[in-house]
Amino acid sequence: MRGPLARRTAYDLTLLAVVLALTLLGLAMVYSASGIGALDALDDPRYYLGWQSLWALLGLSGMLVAMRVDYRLYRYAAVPLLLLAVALLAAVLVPGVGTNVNGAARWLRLGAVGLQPAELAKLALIVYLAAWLGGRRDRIASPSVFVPFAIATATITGLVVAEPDFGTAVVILAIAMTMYFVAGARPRVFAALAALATTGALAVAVAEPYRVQRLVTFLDPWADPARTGYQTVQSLYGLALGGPFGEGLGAGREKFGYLPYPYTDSIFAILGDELGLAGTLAVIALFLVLAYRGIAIALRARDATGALLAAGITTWLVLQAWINMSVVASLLPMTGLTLPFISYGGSSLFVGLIAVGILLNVGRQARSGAAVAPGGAGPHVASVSRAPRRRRNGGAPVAAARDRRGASRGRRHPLPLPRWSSRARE
Amino acid sequence: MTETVSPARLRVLFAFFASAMLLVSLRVGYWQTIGRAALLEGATDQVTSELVLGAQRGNIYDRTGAILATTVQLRSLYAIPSRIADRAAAAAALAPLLGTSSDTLRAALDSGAEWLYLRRRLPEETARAVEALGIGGLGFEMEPKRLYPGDTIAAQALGFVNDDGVGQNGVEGAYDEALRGAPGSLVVERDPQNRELAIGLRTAVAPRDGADLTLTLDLVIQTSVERALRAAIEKERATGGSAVVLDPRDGAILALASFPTYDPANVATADPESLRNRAVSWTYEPGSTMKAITIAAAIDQRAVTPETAYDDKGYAIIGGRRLNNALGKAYGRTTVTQVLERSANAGAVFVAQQLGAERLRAYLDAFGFGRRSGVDLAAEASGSVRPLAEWYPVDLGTIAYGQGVAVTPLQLAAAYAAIANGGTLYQPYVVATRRDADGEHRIAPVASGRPISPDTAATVRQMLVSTVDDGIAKGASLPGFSVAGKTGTAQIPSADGSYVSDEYISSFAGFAPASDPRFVAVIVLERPQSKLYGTVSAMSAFRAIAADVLREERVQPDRG
Repeated sequence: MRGPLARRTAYDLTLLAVVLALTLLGLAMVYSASGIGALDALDDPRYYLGWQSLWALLGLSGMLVAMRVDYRLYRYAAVPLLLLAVALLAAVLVPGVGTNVNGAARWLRLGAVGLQPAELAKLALIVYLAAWLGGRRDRIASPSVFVPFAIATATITGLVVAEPDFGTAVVILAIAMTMYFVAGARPRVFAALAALATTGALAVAVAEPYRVQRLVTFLDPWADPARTGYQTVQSLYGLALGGPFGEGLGAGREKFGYLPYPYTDSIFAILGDELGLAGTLAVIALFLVLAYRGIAIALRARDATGALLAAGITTWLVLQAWINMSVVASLLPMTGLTLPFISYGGSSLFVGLIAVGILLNVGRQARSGAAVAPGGAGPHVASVSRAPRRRRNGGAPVAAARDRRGASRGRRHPLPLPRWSSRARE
Repeated sequence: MTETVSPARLRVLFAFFASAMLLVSLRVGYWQTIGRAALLEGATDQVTSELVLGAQRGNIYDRTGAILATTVQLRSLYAIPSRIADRAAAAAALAPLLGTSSDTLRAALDSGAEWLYLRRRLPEETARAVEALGIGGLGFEMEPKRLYPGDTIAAQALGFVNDDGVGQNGVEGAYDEALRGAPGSLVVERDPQNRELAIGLRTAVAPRDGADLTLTLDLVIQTSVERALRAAIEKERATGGSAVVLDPRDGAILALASFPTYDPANVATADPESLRNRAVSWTYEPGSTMKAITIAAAIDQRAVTPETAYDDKGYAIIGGRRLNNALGKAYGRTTVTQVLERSANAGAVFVAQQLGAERLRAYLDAFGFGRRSGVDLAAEASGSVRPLAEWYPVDLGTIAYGQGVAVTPLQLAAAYAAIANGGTLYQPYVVATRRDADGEHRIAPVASGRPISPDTAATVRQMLVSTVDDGIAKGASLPGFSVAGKTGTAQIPSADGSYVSDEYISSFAGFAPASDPRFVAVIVLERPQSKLYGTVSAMSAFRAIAADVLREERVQPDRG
């Protein structure tokens, strides 16, 4: 399963390759999708490509750093990071500080660079919840654990809703709920919480007339294809024009001013137009592999905080990608989310790559040789799945389980893999 | 703290992700394969725009190459009222330039239309003046305009082109398809701002311009004929009239005039009656001009000779009815030649009785009466000759002198042309050559029959010369030329089946020089004020036309 490189590194190279592939594909698509508009508006077809490339370089550098920083150190940074995120989200709402685009204040502008605090907030909340819930799984239902979780989640979500950025708020809420679930929420509590979150989201959704309109449009985009249904219809046109194999990279026709937001929210439709079903399925497959490797890392994580970090980051990237692609395919109502690594957007790309760096670090510190596949089934997988329950019941045969796994891979790894702490000092 | 989380829940999470990804794959897969067809048309349509590349309508020339009809591109003024800042001011500024009241313009601008023509096909100087106003929301569009440099000359023969570019009446109508050509198209892919896509498809089909037509009409002869006809009509204060000049040698129409007439530049306001080309669409009872046909038939059948005589009592009894000569004159012994010279109705009845109804009917048919001549002009009428089975005995007598049948001026001209040319009936035609991308196509004359023998034709020609020299048609004689011809005065059928009292159609049909006829002319006047003497005006019109044609054709006099 692993190539020769795997012998020299503990990093999940598959995950790294997937993310690099998505980022490079993203650069190509951003150039193709934005070139016409940039030439028109700015007389420079490479304007967005330039910025996206810069952010990709910064993000990859950040990723290289993050993958070497021990994720356990983040628990000290969790609360300050969360407070910073809250402060920035609040700042966005202050008129004159936040930049209002299309009726939503989502940006902080620093010179030529626009920052989206919501992107940082996602990561900050994940880091905070992983640290908070990771160490308190035994008391997960107690108010002392639940209330801070709920307050942190509600604050971030509420501030994002206030921007307003409903789509991102839903993603943040879903990430928090997923982490709470993975952390071991009691099924009844989780069900009640999920119901509450869904109700709340629906209430927020119907509170604004334009969101109600989006729901109506979603049900029948063809009712008014020139106005309310325009974006949906143009997205579908993009997919249809592409067909099985696409019109060719750069040769799409939807990007010529027909499809709104061609290089951000709707880039998947442009990708479908130019690369066809082959391209769209490839992207979906890449995100599925990302999900697979992310969950595999969570399964192998050496502690609950690592597992929650991995699960949270994976949920974020995969869920956001799924929502973005589903909106383009008219599987979900319209909402403005970027397609991670592919859509144009510095904050999104930069923070996303750093998150992948953290994910890689969690994976690198996985329990030695723990080749646990999320979808796999085998004797050792079954034993792992039982392990926590046994531990919770008082027994702690962790060493035994690890020994058995170590033994099964022993011939390939004569020496135990270096401990994370020693590698971190290298 | 080293405890990890529930793998089962992580697997549930992955299963959830996998299902979600499967779902979106299926949805995307649907749109890009099975569901694609339903979307593709809309997706392609919004990008492609088809421009019609108009074909230039062909020119029409007279036989000498003078332009009778051509097409120029003029600017049409349109308005998008919602983009006009101040509609009242715009209307006030435009009114003097367009020559309309500002209220009318204001009403048009306020009509609620998103887009409208304010004036189509403006003269260039007006268009420039409007442009100079610099009013936003106004724009120009090139539109072809048909121009007739001769103004009203040959208006009915040429026809006109309506606002939608469709030829109507005359040559424009009959040759519309050839003149119009085939428009081309340019399919271009465009963005929502209507700019061409840099990578877009471009499919061009070049337009095929319409063919140029050269007519048999001669502008000089046409002018002369129109002038002569107009003079006769004005003198007689006639309600209408028509004149046709044919070349008897091949049926080529040299001139074709119709009155009342119209100005092709103002077709919209023209009286519909004036658009009618009476030369081909007016069926009238010809009267005595038909006697020549009756006599030609009888001579051809050897039923009579020019010298055959009968005793004219001033009337003839046939089918129990008494048919009178004009003004009830009794001529006594009269030869067939004298029947023409005196235009004796009783004589025509006598000749017809020698011939018999069946043979007369057959000759009428052979001379082309009762059916369309096939001339290449729009809206030709067939005239009317009833089938033999519907003939009463008296009809043989009346038809012999041209009542109870209806003809068009052109049919009569073609029949006289057969007498003039030695017995061949030619299909009259007006388009001599068609020039298109493939080159020039000369249209060959069509002989549609030989109703009479050359001998008969020569005999009848001689009799018609006597008619002009010594008989009733003296007014048509020309110095230096032998002229053959016959007058006709016919009553006008009324709605109740009898005839309108004291109103007539006067006509003259003739040709010259009789020894070698170069033209046949038919002049018909409707309701001349001088009643029975309307033929005098018809003959003087003929004389004027004949003088011009013979001079124009450089025909040498055949008499000393």
